[in-house]
Amino acid sequence: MKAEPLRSYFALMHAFVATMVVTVLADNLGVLWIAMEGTTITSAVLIGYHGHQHGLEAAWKYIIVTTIGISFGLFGTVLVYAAATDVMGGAGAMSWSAIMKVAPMLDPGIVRIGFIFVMVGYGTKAGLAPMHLWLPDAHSQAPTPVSALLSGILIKCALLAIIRFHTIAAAACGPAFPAEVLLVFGLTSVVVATPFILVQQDIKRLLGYSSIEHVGIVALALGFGGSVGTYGALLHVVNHGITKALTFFAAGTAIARYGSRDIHVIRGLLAVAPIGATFLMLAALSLAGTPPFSIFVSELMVLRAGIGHSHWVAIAIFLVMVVVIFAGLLHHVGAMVFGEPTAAAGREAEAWSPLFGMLLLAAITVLLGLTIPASFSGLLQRATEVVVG
Amino acid sequence: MAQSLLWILPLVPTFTALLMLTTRDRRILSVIDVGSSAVLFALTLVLAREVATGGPQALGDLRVDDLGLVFLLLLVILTLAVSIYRWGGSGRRWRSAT
Repeated sequence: MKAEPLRSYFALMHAFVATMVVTVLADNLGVLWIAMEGTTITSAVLIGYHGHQHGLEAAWKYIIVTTIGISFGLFGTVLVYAAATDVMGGAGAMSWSAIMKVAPMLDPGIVRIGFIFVMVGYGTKAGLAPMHLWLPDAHSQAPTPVSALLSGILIKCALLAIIRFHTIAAAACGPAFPAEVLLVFGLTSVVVATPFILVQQDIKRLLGYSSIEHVGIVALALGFGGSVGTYGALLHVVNHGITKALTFFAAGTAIARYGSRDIHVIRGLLAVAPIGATFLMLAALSLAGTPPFSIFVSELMVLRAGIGHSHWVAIAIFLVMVVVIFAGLLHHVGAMVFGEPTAAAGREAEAWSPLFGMLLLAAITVLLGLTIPASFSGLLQRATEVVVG
Repeated sequence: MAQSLLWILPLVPTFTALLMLTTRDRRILSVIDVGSSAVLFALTLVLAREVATGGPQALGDLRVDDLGLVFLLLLVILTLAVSIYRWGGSGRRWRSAT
């Protein structure tokens, strides 16, 4: 890259981070919505950054789908605001913390409709099926660090917005209604993602569909509810964010080495880039939910929450899909890592900085699989209390 | 202190983005990139400590509680990891991936 596009790339990345910081810190639901739109604007430019046809197509698709989706989120926000205004007047009726104080008194009918709008709106941004259409294209066409941030944290920011509205809806309408909505979207996402993971030939699209599955698991965990389900959902948010970024990093270095995203071209990675191949295998094992990695722990917790609340059908579907995805994911990644390298394989030495970035994330993935540090567990406990009260 | 951090945190990447636009040297861009992400990470740790001891902090339309903090920590860790990952990228194949 020449200096001009490189500096605008770096500038856009930090602008993207700034919008996500505001999204996470926003107490005002209007500011939350504006910041979420801000993430769309900055990340769309980054998705189409390389300027080639498929990248621009993915960026436009992303803008159109998420903007339509997020307008539903605005309708939902306005409905919740209207319900809050009836109880508390205009002052503070957009503030999440102020609304939470009067949430049990809100009109449950209005909040119910508002929550469905919010689920469709922010669910689009989160990549929940069936509103996920932008996600595989955007993840596959974006530069690797952008894909890592999209999958690792952007879709989680949308999930945070859903969780905020979920707490309002649970207090206003009772926990059963938002839980059922989350269960439906969660299960749909896991089921829809599974066949696409099996037949994928593009490594980054494969990871995109895997993100849809994991966002579905978080929604499922929130739907199961209770302390265990919510704790599991939040732990899964962190575990998936870290692991998916690691997987994109490892895939990105493999793509750079082979000059292709095609799984059939990337072969014998272990022979030409042993450290990168190890990280890719480790990340895939973690993503597939293999012990002793972090995602195994959070998926086990989600399962425990489902059993605790006797959601037997949902658990059965979830287990079948997870097993199928486990086989599919490891089949694809195993084929890329082992065997004879293809002619396309670059033989240059592995660069240290990507490896160091991967090492940082791999260490967290392994650590959270072996033990959850007391301070982090305490934070998750207190965060769970914010959601379930 | 914690309340000021609520405003400072979004400003760090915002000013970094503006600074990037005035910089031409590739190495300086990488240094600013990692430096800014490290500062963001460090400030978030300070905020996390404040929230752990003093509870949720709010200033205007911004507020951080334990729930938001989980997501904020994930964001700053990934931002730092991304900056390290693309540090000093060189070579045609490597640049094509970033």
